[in-house]
Amino acid sequence: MSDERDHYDGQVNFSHYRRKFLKGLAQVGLAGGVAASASGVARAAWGGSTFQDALGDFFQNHYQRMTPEEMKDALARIERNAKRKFGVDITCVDTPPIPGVVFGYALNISKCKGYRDCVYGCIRENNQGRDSQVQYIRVLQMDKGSMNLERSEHYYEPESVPVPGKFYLPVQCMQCDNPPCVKACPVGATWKDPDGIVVIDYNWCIGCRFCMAACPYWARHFNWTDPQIPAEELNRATNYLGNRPRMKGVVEKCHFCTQRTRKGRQPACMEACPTGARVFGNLLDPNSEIRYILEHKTVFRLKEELGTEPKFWYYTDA
Amino acid sequence: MVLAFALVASTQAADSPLPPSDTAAAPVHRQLRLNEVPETPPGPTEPQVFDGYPQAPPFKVVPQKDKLTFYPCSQCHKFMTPNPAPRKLEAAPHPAALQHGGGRIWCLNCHLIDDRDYLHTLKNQKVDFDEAYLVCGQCHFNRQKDWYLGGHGKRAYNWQGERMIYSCTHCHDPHDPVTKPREPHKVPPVRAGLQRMPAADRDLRKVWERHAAKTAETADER
Repeated sequence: MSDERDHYDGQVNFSHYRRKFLKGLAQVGLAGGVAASASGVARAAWGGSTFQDALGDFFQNHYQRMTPEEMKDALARIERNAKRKFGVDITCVDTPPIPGVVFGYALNISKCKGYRDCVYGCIRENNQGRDSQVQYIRVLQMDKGSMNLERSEHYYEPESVPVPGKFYLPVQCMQCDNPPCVKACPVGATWKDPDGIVVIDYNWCIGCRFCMAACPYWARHFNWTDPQIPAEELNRATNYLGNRPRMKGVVEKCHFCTQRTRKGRQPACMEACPTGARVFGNLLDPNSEIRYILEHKTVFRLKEELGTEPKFWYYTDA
Repeated sequence: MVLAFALVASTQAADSPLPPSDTAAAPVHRQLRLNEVPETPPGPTEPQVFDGYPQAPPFKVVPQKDKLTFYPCSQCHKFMTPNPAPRKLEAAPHPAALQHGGGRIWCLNCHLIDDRDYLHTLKNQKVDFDEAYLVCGQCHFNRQKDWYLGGHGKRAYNWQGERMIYSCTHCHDPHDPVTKPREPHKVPPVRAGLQRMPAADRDLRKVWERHAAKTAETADER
């Protein structure tokens, strides 16, 4: 009896059953001659994480089913993995949505000049792979007087913008209220949060890319390679359903900068925009700027006829 | 003719019976407006001065005065006698030709002649440099209303909480307000190992046009 109690006292820092189980497995792995260290600093043969963390990632539950303790473990694992991979200390948190808030975005295409500052602000803020063609925002150069997206030019590189006779249409995730990508996901790795943001649990994503086929806005991007990010440029303030470092083989997309906007800050693209073309706010607040725009300006949504109910409006002066 | 005259006379009599002839020195008309006309006309009051839009959410302007190179202007101007005559300026810090307003505007339309550290409006408000939007909005009132209410301009730092917005002169040079074309950021990279599709190679015909062309080709072969 007393022996048993001593045993439990020794295990008190591993508070719940799964953690004990995993530690046991790790010890078995050590006994089997596998080069894993319990302290978790050495680079192991299976992709830079210790056996314990690899198993923890493997057995990690879906975001919505994780207990607070499991979430804490998952966040600590993400921080340890980033330390191993990039050599920097990041903080990963799980910011819940703010009650009574539904986010909406409005973009003034009369003001947008095609500078692409938002694209690069987003790349840095959201820890996107630098060479993997994962840009959440694509600025399309369009012929004035036409809305033909097929004739748009994404890779424009003139001496100076705006080019006469063209206008610029930045396209990113529209955070649809009726999101086809969520319907397409076979495993439920993406869903719409109460604040209207369509988020992805990267750990639960199986990389089937059905959502990419379902999205009419080409807003979702697949990590074909491990994202290559210079360590000194890594954004260290990360969020679980946001800009934490992703792995190879998962889909990612714009999440309205959950790590910033759920704490009251602006999304990075809005902060980077020098023209003030972007307006972000709470659709449920009748005094917000975005509500003024929706009520008093000529607004339109992209591919509205598809019934996806995007929460991203374009408007013009006048 | 006589009948019509009688009809008019009878209706007038029915609507407003004529007052006794001794008091009616002036003709009395029916009241033409629905709203009441005040007995005594309002006396001259202070001119109404624009004071923002009441429905606009409260805001503060991001301060800019400390970033101006030559501010305060009175450093130099207190030693100079003011000369209100419009002329071409040649001294160094001032632009020789004012690009704003197509030559119709002269410095002192906005700058206060007595205290160069301030601006003024047409109603003689003394306006701080950080409140330049009150001066700009005298002509650009549509933009100004949008700016107050959030449809124009740029908010700083946050989307909720204290609303800090940039003033007009942060983005627009008031002496040369047109935004110049600028070099864009570099083209986003294509995934490693892939190439961009040149725009010239893209077949911009409609699907049915492509199909028709293809069927025409095969018809020739047959």
